[in-house]
Amino acid sequence: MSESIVLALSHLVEIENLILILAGVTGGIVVGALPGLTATMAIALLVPFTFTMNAVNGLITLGAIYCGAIYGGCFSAILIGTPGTPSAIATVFDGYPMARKGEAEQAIVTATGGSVVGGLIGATMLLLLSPLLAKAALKFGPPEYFWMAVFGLTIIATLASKSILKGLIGGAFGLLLSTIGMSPIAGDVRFSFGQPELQGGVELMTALIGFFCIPEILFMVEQRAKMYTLITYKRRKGITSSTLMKVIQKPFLLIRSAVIGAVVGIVPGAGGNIAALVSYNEAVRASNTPDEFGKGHMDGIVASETANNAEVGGSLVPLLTLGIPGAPPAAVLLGALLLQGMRPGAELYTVHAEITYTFLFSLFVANIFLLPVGIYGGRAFSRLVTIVPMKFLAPTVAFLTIIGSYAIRNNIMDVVIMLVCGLFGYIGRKLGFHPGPIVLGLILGKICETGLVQSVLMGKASGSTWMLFFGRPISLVLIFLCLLSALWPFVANALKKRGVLNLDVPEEEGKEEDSELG
Amino acid sequence: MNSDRLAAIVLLVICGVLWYEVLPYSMLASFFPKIVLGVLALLSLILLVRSSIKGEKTWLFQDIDKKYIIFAVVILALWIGMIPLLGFLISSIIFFTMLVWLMGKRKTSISSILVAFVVVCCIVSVFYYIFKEVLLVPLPGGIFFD
Repeated sequence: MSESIVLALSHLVEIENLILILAGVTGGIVVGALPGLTATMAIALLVPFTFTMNAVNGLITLGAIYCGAIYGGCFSAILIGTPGTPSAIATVFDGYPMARKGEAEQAIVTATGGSVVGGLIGATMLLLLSPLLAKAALKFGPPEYFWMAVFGLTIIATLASKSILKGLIGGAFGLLLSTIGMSPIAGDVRFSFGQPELQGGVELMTALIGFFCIPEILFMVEQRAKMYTLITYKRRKGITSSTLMKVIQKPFLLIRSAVIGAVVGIVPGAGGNIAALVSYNEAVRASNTPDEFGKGHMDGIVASETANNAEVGGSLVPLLTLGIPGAPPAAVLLGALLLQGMRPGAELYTVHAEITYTFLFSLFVANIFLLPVGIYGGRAFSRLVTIVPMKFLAPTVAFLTIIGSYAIRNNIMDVVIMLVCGLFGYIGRKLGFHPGPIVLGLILGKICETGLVQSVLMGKASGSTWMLFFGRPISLVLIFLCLLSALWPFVANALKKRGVLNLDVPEEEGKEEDSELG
Repeated sequence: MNSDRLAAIVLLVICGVLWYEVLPYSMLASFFPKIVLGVLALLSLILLVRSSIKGEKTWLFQDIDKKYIIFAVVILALWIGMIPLLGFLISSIIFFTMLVWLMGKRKTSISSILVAFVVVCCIVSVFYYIFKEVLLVPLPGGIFFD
């Protein structure tokens, strides 16, 4: 164990890996900064480039892309008033007014400082919590995995959609998709309708690329003529250091936002946008000058950006230990992990410890890299937002989705399935069904089914199915969590009426909030 | 008909069709799909009932230009469909250019299409090279290059 930590650290200082992290962070920031390209898309589009890399190189690149993309969203949030990725939604509230006041540089530096601190705290939580949880997961039997999957589904249904009913339907639809192909216990081929390509089921990565990228392409087609006006800024001497000092002098705000971000990240399915909104609202509540928020207050940017980057580490905790993504971009990372032949769980911390710890440590490096890349490259990234013409952006993304989904198994049928998933996703979004629950259903389906069928078999053998599902201590905790998350909307409503909780977003941002893509 | 009701009916039909598909499967293989189908049908039924009580009269493509979306989907479908025939390179260049043209202004001059074509050729060749030569993905060559 300690040996693998030393090995992991030695991998980290290899120049090749440092370059990959730098490239990943930069690539992530670019994609994150472009409005219409979300962090989830960034990873989905760039995963194919890591197929032929070894596991260490591939994972650290993807981790760096994840950090960069979540941070990159702040550029368009601050400079054009549109979040570059849904996670940056709350950054718009104060970032854009600040830029309009002529303090664009201060806003960017504040966001950068907050992101770095948040990212580091999130990565620390991941490093400390995930090995413990992985050990605890060893005690999980089939019934526990079943309840865990049910918990994941109830929570995303209640958190990720405006309508709980539609969230649940989306989740169930995802479960149904997961049953296509070979049955995990009996081995029957189901719902293949005579297509040999469907025997292996819907490849996760294919579905992810389809569900997360194709709808965004079509949204870009919808908004063909949209133009953005960019607030430009020049770097001035002394601003960077004085602003960073101001950020560091807010330890309570930083730590609170980071903890909120990481905890929301751990909760399955709830992405960076929810982390940032919750953190923003808490910052407003705790502030002595709540009226200043929304008019260009530094604390607002700190709250949002710290939380959404802390969410990166948090969202990987359930992913690496249980195989349940904490946020949509983490779902794509799961796809990449599985393609590298690594199954989430205790094995990652024992058999693959060297790779896993290299990945965990690389997140620290990636977050530290955000600082110089963001501050020195900031102006270039913000220019990109307006330089890259929309008419080339959407087709390029389309091209990458096609080449990417083909490269997974070198199979043209996968590309067709990708497009079909994407069209489902697009029409679904129009009808109020979001891809988040569907994708989580697809991921959890296998875990859920295996857990359920094995439990029933175990129950038959032991004579009491009832006790097996409802009599085990960890199961009881999970059942309690399921009930809590299922009842959460009612609790939230009650809290809202008392004015304790406020998650409402101003009208214009409503659409972006819907997209819940992390 | 409002969109919720349509969605509910489509989902119920899917559930019905798949239920018949599941029936002949073995007990272990059909156990989970049956539960999921049951839950999905129940939820869809609730959606159906709710849509009749407070029907939102929203229609799918109310406030957007349907034409462009349909064109875009057709271009994407042809792009993918033509890959086995024309090969990855040619198919991508043709349909990529068409998408750029679709995304552009209504009136496009010949010169701007030519510029787009050149840019597209560059983008496609760069990625084609990366995937084929660096990442060693065997991209289909089609009838011209095989």
